[in-house]
Amino acid sequence: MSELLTDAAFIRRLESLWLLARKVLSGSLQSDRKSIKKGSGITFADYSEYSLGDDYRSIDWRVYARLGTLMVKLFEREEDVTIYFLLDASKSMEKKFLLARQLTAALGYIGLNILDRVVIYGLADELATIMPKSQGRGKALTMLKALENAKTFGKDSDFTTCCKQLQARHRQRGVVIIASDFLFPQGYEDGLKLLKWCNHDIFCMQVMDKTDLTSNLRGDVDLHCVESDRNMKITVTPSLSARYEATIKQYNEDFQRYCARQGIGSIYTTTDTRFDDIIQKVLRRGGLVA
Amino acid sequence: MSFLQPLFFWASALIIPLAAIYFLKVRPRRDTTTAIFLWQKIYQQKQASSLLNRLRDLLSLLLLILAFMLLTFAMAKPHFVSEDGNDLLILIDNSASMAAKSKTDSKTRLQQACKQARDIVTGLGAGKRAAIATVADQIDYKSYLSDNSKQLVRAINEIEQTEIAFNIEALEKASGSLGSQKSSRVILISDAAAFTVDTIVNGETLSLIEQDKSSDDPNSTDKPAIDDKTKKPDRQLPGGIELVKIGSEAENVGIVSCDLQEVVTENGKMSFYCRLANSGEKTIEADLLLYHMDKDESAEQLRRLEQGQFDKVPGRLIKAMPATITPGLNDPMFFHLADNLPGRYIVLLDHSDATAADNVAYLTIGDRDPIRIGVLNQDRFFFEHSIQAFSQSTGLIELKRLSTTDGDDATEIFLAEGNITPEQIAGYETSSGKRKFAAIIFNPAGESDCWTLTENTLNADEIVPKLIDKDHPAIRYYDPTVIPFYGAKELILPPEGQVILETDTGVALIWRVNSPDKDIIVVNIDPSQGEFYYSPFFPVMVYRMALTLAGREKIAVSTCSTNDSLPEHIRKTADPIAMTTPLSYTTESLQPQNLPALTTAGFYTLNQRNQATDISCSLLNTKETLLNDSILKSDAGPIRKGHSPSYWLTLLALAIVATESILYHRRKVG
Repeated sequence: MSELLTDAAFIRRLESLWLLARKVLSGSLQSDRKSIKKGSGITFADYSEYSLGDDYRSIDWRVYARLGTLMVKLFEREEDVTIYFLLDASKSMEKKFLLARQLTAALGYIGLNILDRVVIYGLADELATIMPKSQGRGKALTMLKALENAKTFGKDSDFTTCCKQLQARHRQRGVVIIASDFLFPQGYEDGLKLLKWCNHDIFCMQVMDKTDLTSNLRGDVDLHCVESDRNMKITVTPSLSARYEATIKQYNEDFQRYCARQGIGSIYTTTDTRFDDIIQKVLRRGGLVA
Repeated sequence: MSFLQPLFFWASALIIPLAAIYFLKVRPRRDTTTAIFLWQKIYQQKQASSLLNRLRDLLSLLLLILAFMLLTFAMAKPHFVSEDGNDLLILIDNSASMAAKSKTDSKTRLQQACKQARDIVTGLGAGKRAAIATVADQIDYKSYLSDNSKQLVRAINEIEQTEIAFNIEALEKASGSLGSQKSSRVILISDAAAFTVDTIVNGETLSLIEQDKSSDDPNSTDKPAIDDKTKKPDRQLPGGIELVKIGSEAENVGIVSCDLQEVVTENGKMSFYCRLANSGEKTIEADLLLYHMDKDESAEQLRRLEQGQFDKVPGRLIKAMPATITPGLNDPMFFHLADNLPGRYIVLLDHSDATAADNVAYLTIGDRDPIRIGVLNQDRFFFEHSIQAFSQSTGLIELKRLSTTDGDDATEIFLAEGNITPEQIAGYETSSGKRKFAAIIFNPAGESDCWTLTENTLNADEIVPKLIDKDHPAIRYYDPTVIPFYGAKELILPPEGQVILETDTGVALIWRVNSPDKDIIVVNIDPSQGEFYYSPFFPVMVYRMALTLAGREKIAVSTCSTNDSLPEHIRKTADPIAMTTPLSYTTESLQPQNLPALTTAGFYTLNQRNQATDISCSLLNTKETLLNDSILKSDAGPIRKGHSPSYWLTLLALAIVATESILYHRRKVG
């Protein structure tokens, strides 16, 4: 598959995914996403006792007349959502970077089409902006070009730091979509907890390569970490290889289990899967839900 | 422990580059990962065995260093100081009996001996040297004293089987020369067949072996040990020689003596004589076959006979005689042959046994070549008749009319009365040069360097002849002391004169002057007096003296034994000889007195003055046939066999290197 994200064939596939998204999500994708925030929408949501500072216009005087208590009407606030894409651009993603960018491009395309605000960051030892906050269909090509030009960078990726940097830049809650292998030496738990604490809707796309999952190493090996540049001299026996494969399998299962426990949506994929199959699977599952 | 070559310890300095090479070798291959923290996690779990892992490379290096040190040690050739001397002389018997192979053995005795020698050589400790020699009729050194086992093994591998009988005297000579070296040991590896007991058959002692007990043996007694009624005491090895005896009992029969001669008294007939021996305990029936063969039969076919391949015998079978061969030495067999055919004969004992070489004998009946005698006398009649008397009956001498144009057929011996001057024999020369002047002179007269006459003549009645050399061939078969020496003169002999008969007053009557240029027998008698011409002594005297001067005083045998020299009448000739051995090797221009001994059974061809003469040679040795009669046992002291400490150290080092390599390889493949 071509690595170009701006060629016509790729865009046609994104368009197909957008159409599928419209159909699956029954047209409710127009930026009329219901918010749990109560605000100035037109759809009645609930009553609440008046408190100092409430808008007088929302007082339901009929209720006051009947009950003698000031009650204000609460409406569901209709708002556009900001989707934060955290694309893992660390060195360890070299083999998985294309799929991660394709998945980001697909979901970003859908987001731009439903008039959400989309912002894409590269994730490594620090957060690097790939595409600033953008909105509207017209930004789709800009997004694709930005993703196409994105390179891996950094050393010693630190997910927690990146999450902190995101929170520092964007106070507004939104949907955080993370495309990564989640092989963070310092762990992923703190970062996800921080995002969760900030009330973001989080969706994790764990992308692995089969070379990550298996070990063909034998004998004396000077193991070099592509991400941290650290070396480790080890002697790999078949039993150690098997133990490595079991360990990484357990690591991935622990990650999926953690997401499920935290109410974080997640999907696990490998580089030998087509990106549009993954997106279709996500859409048919009902969207980016846990 | 000491070291012969401690300088090799400097080789330890090579440990430094060795370690460098090792570290280069163990450098791991590089590979990449995206999750090194997972590997770290795994290895943290394996922490219990991490100490061993850290030491693993060090252990490997230590193993290599140990291997290297062992090799260094091996190169330094450690040896244990022992009291048994530093030098070994290994004598390997390669006489004819060593070709024996019993039915239970897969190898011949010589092959077994060589294997024993190789074992000793490979077990030669450092600081010890060995020399290899073969012994049969003489000691033949195959290598110098050396500590190089490879060179010694090569020398052993080059040892070849001979057809020569073992000569104990050769061993005694060697013992004498080696005995002075106290630090050396002499090991004889042999079947000791030559050390047979004396067997008495029909009152005849067959092997001349006598007791030779060492005087310093505390157990020795004056009375030698007797094995049984038919055996004489065994013979000890010469002092200082230790015997390693090899070979098991083998069934063997063979021809131990054989001859074929013309019957002089019966014209055209030949008589065959043969004696067989059996080393086993059972009587064996076999055919004795006599073949007459053509000259052009190839040597290869004869070789096949000696290897026991009797399927195709070259020649024409002229006599087959069944033989019953009882254990031990058998009585002689005789038979006559009607045809007197000169040429080559093969006698074959048609039986398969331990040694094939003694089942074949080669015989030669040569064409008659009479001694040409010329008379240089005015009064020729009686002299010529004395020659003709024996030329007709034996054909060994021949009257030659003198001529200066005879060339190679010129007169060999001159017969004369009085004196022979150089002028008289001038011109009688062969094509290859002047022949040694030989003559029989009666009634010496005039001046000669063979005598100096005085004025006196002896009175025949007063002469009392006295034999000085009673065994001289010139007077064999008659008694010269009964001859009346009429006309004998008083004379003085030159220093080289060899007196055979003289008077009681010391006047020579018969003498011989044998110098480099002449060989003359002089008889101090006037044959014309006292009717000596009519005496039967006269032709007999001429005949015997002619045979003596021609070197044919002995009856020519039809075959020689393998240890023999060539017949004397050949060695006494002057012309160079080309000699072709049974193996078809030809050596040109050999001086007759330097002709090599006959060492190979078969037919030799001697070519002298374009005239070919056949000489046959056969094993014919009782001791080499009676293989089982030796009563000598192995008496060699402990001999270190097997491999040296250096060999084992090297082997251990290689095993360590191999182990380390396997361990390393296992790490490489995980």
